[in-house]
Amino acid sequence: MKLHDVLLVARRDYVAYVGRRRFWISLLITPAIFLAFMLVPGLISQFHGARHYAVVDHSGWLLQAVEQRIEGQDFAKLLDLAAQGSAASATKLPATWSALAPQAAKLDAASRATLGQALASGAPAPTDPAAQMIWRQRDALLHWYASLTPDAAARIDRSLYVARFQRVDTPAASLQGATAQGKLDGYFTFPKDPLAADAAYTYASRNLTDTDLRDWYAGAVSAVVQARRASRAGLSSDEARLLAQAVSFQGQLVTEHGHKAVTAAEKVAQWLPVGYVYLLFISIMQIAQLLMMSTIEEKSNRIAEMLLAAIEPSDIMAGKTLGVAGVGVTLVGSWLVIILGLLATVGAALSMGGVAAQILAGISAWNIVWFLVYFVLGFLLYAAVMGAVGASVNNIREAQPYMTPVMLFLMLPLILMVPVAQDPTALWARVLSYVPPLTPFMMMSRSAAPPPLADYIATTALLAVTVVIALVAAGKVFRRGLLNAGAPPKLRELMAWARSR
Amino acid sequence: MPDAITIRDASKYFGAHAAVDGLSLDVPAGSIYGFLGRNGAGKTTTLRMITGILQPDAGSVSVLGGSRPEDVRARTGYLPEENGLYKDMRVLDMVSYFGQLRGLGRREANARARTRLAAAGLEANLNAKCNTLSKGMGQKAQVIGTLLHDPELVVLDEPFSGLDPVNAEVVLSLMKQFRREGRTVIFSTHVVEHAEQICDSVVIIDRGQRKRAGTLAEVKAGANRTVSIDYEGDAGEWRELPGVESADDSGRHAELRLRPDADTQDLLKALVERVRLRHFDTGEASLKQVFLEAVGADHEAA
Repeated sequence: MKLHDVLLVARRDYVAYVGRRRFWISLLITPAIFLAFMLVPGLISQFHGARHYAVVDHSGWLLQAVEQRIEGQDFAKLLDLAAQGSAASATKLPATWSALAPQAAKLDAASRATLGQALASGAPAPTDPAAQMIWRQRDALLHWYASLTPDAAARIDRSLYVARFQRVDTPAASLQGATAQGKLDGYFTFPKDPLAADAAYTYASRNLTDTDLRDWYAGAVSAVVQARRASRAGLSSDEARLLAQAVSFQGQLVTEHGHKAVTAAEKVAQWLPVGYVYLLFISIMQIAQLLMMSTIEEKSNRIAEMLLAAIEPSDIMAGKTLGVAGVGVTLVGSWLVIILGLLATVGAALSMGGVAAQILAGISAWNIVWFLVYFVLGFLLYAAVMGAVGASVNNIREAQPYMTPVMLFLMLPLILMVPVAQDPTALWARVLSYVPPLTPFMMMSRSAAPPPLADYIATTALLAVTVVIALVAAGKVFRRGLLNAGAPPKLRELMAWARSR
Repeated sequence: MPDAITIRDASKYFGAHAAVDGLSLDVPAGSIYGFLGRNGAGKTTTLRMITGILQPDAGSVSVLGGSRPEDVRARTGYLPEENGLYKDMRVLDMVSYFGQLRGLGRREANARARTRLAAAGLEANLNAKCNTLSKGMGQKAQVIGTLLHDPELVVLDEPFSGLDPVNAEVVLSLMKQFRREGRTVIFSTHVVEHAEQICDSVVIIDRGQRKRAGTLAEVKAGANRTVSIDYEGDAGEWRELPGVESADDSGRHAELRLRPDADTQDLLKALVERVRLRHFDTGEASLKQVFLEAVGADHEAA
């Protein structure tokens, strides 16, 4: 193999791809899709506007209690905004609330939540001096909230319930018609005895697949009903809260050296293998196919024979593989930088910035090294196959029958990804790790466990040998296939090419 | 001077089919050598073995002083019959690339490409993409790219394919120039007239086997003598004439192939009695005749 010739071909192919407009489009389109996933749901909800609903309260008391609860939650959010004291919060809040910033900042989040409920319900005044100063503004705050429109609330903060949901007083006889005509998104009906075990609550809507309104209101009503049930049973609110508290197990990671509590970063890290496998899949799928298409292009443009006369077919193939690998590294590396940047910037604005930090903290050097090893070997293996396919056919359509088994091997790891991540030490997972076309994916799926060092070494060695065999065989198919202008070879003929001198 | 190419008992099989079957020949250095044969005769396969694209399944092929073809790629230039362009590449970059593939340094390749493309009238197209070139311009770019490294051995597969007479003449002139420069040129063709016009030596290949080989004089020497006549009237059955083995009759002109023992005087007497002769000329066989004899007999036998 002549390194000069390999690098020459690699450089040409790399520049040919990176210099094309469609490369930059594909480089930007994946992060753009990612950005859309982040922004579109929020934009759609803005466009959707507030949902309108009505309530038929046969109990005579539940509606008022729920309204107070919802108001209390909004008051708590407004106090949180005031407490932030940042320039962004200050410009959003009206003077009524921004003036309370010093007092709100003195309270912790739990106190602000309690104060918010108290402001809404008129519960006994708090004892804390800062809370008392806020309490004195209660009438003004209630008056302001009562006149707040959904649009005005959305300008302050879209997470305020008054921005998203608006109750409309509607006569019972008009409810069905108003809902059918779209004037109401739905209406709720409370039973006469909401606290009974068999109390029947209903939600009527033209679109029952939209659960946003229903789930939100059900949560608010449940909280009120549970509190009332607890009170009726003679329990204090603290006792009721304790009763309702579910049991959760704190994760402890067991290693050879003992066990320790799992950090948030480590929890993220346990699911990073899914990300590795996706990245491997996308990289190999998109990039290795470039090799096939570039080879088909050279055949159809009648360049192939001129190349074969100048340099060895194995050097052509190695150069094209290297060039395409360079394109892949550029593409995937750029995606990673852009996506992590988006998470840190746009994501921070959407309260997702911590995700980027957790992902970065969860990535270990060990996993990076093995990811790169398996990426390179996996890419070479599939590139060899796809290069051979490209050399054997005259156009994309002829390549389809050959691509079916290749795609099967590529899709199988995606299907097994989650089961392997859930049970990385399973015997079947270990066995499949030794099937060379599956090795990169299976080993990265198991990396959270992590697999024994012997598995890393043995699977890598087996994969490397397979790659060498594949590249040699593909080189022979490449040599024969590039000169073949007739019908594509049958599988038996292809095997004969691979075994030929 | 050693021969530029030496082939000994070379064979190449594709499955059960022998594309080249026990071929032996020698190409003198500094000459123009023609590979003649019908379509599918084995010409291209032979050229591919000479350029190292294919390896013979039997026998040997050595070039430029006994080397393996793949070892002397930097000294060989090859323009296949079907040749194309990198459509999205700039003309200058593509030509330079082909030169670099043959061992030129990048700077040297760029400089030569720039100079030679300009000399060929493509200066305005240096930075244009190849898919903007006309067919003729593209062919010029291909030839320049193929020969950018000034190879000692130039291999051309069907170089006249698809060319009009003017461009064919350009190619012929180019070959003569290469010969003057001391390079060896081999080319394949099934248009025998081009070979007769320019070749020092030829080989006629049919069904992968060598039928005739040598200088033009040597190849023609073994062929039947011919008599070329222009006439009026009806000559009747040519074979009834004394000494005539076969004839190509164009109506008023005929090429008569004579048997080795034929007496041209007897033939002249017989012709005068049958037709009104305008022209009677004895001469050596044309290469076309030699070609037809070499491949035609086997074809008829088949």
